[in-house]
Amino acid sequence: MQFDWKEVSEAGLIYSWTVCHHTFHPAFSDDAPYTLLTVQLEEGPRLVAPFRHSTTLNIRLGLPVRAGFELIDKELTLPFFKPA
Amino acid sequence: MASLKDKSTITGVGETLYYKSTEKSALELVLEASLSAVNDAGLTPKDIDGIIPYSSQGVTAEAIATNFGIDDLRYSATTPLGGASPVAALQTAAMAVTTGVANNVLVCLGRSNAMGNEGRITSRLAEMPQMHVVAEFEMPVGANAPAQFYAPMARRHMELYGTKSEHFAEIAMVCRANAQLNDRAIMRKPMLINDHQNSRMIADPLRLFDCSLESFGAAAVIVSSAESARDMKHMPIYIGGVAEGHPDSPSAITQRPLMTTLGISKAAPIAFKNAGVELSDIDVAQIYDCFTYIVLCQLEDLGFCKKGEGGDFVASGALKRSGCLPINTHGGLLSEAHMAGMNHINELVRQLRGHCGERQIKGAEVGLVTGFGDLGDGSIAILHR
Repeated sequence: MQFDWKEVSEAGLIYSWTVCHHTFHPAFSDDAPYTLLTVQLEEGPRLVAPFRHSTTLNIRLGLPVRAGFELIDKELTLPFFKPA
Repeated sequence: MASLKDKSTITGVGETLYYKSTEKSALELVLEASLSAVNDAGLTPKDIDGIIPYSSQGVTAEAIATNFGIDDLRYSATTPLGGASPVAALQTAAMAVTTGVANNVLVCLGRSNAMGNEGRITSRLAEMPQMHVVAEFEMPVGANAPAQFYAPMARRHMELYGTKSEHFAEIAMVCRANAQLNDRAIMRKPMLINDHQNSRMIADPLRLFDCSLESFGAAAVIVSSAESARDMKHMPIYIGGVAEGHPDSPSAITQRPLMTTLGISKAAPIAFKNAGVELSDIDVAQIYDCFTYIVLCQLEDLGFCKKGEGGDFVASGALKRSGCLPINTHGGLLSEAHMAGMNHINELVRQLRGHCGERQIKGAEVGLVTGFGDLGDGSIAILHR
């Protein structure tokens, strides 16, 4: 499959989510339970990334979120979402 | 267009015992199940001239042909659709025997953990074309396994249509109740709603009891032309209609226009039309059940209820043995064993033969079996006596 890189805004809406309690890879065992959002980006594609939010927030479809980026190490930067 | 309707039949079914762990190799298991299916058809191994193996763990058509002493293998193929493979293989087998390319096609699948993790059902993930997207964008943030890929599909369905975890529980309980009447089933302990609701969360909303088993063993079927089937051991079970369907985008689940519709929504109308069968004609259905939600979604995509009404349909008791659409009478992948749906074909054939003893659906003459795999591919066969 062929893909191109395109710059997008950081804004999107929650399309769905899951809360991962059981981890299938050791890299995530310390994070569980963690919430993974599927976010509809303004530009069309959907992006999966963890949600950083306060525990009192009620997650719902269509909730506006904004992407941020976290430097994991020198070679790895990963996206996350926070409430917009 | 030439029709496959009733031109081919399933003449033999067989399997090994199903295991939580085994020392036998995948090939050993496949040969054992295949021999059992050959015997069930009243054939000899040399009568097999077509082979469609589930392509994993070195179980190739060549390996089977060598061990069976088949010196004139005329047809071999694979159907790489993950859990939709076995039912999709019925379509290509039907084409082969209808056109005279082969007379008796063996469709078989085996899984072993004797060599480590490669026999696990998730080992298919690494081979899938969808994985280019998933591996680059989704696995690094913590979506690593099918439960985590499918949970957002289930969550969106719940949010859009009010579907509840209790609806998923009903599917798990139906499978478990059926498994209690099946000696082959790995999970036979009774399951009550509280057992389901108290089972640990894997990937919300999917709990442990929403997830299928990880099991090892093998299963096999023989597809023969309708003409030759008349002289075989059991009554022929006809392939009335069969089809496979792929989702709108072969990319990741997350990139598809509709996350709550599966590939089977395209295959089902074709299979029903070709078979000349209505939904109301179906006496028994074996629905691919890697996760409870996937059953509910397929029931909608098949047309047994409207999109979004799967929860109510399930809650009505329709899926029980006494209901209007008994499903997974062997216990399914959730409670019998995970044979990637080959066990669903075997069970449907035995139901239509009337050989299911205590769990027999009385008067079952027409049934359907579905497959689901590779994050959205679907397959369906409508069989009848």
